[in-house]
Amino acid sequence: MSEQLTRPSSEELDATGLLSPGHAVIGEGPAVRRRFRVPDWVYTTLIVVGLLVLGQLAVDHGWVSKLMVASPTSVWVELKQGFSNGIYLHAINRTLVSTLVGFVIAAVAGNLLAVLMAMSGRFEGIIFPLVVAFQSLPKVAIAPLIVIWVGFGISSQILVVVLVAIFPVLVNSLQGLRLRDREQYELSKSLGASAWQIARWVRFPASLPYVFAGLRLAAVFSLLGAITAEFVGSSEGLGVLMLQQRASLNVPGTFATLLVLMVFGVALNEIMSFIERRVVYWSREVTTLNV
Amino acid sequence: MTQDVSSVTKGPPSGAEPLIRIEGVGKTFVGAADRTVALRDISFDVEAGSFVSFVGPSGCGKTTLLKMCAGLISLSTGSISYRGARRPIPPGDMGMVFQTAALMPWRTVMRNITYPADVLHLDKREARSRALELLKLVGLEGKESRLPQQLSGGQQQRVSIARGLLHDPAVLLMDEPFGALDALTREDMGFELQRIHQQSGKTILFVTHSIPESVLLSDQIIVLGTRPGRILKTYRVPLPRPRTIEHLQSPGMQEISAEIRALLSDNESRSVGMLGD
Repeated sequence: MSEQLTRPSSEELDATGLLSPGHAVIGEGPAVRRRFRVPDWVYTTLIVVGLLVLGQLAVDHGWVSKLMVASPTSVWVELKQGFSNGIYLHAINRTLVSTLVGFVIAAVAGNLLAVLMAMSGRFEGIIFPLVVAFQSLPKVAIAPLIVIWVGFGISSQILVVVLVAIFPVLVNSLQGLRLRDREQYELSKSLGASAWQIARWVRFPASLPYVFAGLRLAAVFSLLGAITAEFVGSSEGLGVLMLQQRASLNVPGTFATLLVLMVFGVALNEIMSFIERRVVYWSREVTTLNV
Repeated sequence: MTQDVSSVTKGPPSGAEPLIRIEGVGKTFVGAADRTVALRDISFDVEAGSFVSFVGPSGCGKTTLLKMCAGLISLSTGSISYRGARRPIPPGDMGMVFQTAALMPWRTVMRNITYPADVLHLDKREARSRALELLKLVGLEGKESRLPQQLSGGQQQRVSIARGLLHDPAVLLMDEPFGALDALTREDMGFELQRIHQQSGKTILFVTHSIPESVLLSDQIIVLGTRPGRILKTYRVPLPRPRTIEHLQSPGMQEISAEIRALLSDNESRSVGMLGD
């Protein structure tokens, strides 16, 4: 950048067509338009619309089989019909209940375990390897066993959700509780703070961004667990509905259910983010420990 | 080792009962394979209401010494007496200020300053009105409902000083409180601290890297050297207060600064020489 505050020469302007920020535009200099930047969401929307149009064209012109891909219009018809005759609402209700109940149990139990582990290194040393070993086990693989143990109803679904969702809660909350800001700790000590006072005023609040990172992951995992459980053994729910639609070669219906699941997942994530912004208003960056 | 024992009898200067007396204090960190002597044979007195600086290079144990006074680190040898009793400064009798402001980002400025009142179960209303006074003292009037992240580094450090004073402690312990600030802010904060010291009458123990800062602020400067951490020399700065930038440039101040600098660089070259052997 040139240091003197002179008007840019015409060569400079011609070469780039733009003014460098250091230059002041004075008098009759060529008008410089601020470039309009197209927002990202416009492109995102364009991609979605493009894919929908492409899908419609592909099916209408027989480029792909109707048994492989459902045309957007047929999915729309299926959605309208499904919502008007109550199939979706019924299935959503069931999946919602098992997802939420499982999530809440996982959140409470996971945080409780994390606090116990943070309080006692011994407890953590003994239990944590077991937790990791259990986590390495694909939950889908034990879902059938759980159905055998607990039965074909909603309780087996909830149990699968808990097992899938508890790990991210536990690991992230534990990480948050392990943080120890040495200066805040020493400050508290210099005031004669008890371990409980330090936990209440320093460690718990400091761990909250991590707790919420874990909860947000767990919310999405809960839905995953609920669908998995429905695939393996249930008579109701969105997962079951999808299996039924697939079995009757109802391709538009399957796509419609997938769409409902996607909205479901996005909604869960948004709700969690909303609560997070309210509770952890002071935290800018939240690190997530994934599984 | 024998030197440690004999030095205890040497004793600090006598006189009226000091607020804090450090006698023959040493600290040895025992690792798996080796022992590191962090501090050896430290003795000095701190008068009530005085400003005492610990100056020295990194690794001279000045922070360790400060934390020993606070009772946060145990002594290996020697003793610390506070108000005549053999103990470190008891909890609640001191305020602490660190290099980082160490504010709780989830608490407002007000709630950060009143944190000591939470821990010590002081009256909440009284704590709030005192916090407002302290905010005025540190020049942050009207900022009580801000969050720390909305303040500059210098402002955060002022909040941290106000928090250190909330419970009206006898002693303020400051561990390089201005180390993370830019040079201009740092100078301002130095004068500010001098004013706070004069107005509050607190005893202040102050750890710093900066020789001019220590000369400006202190009644007594403890110069520490490394390998092992020990007192090279103790200075008294008899200049009247409030001291100004002009005082800093006066021959007396310049002389002390130059002497401390020479002392420290001499210590540095000698300890490097020792390593070479």
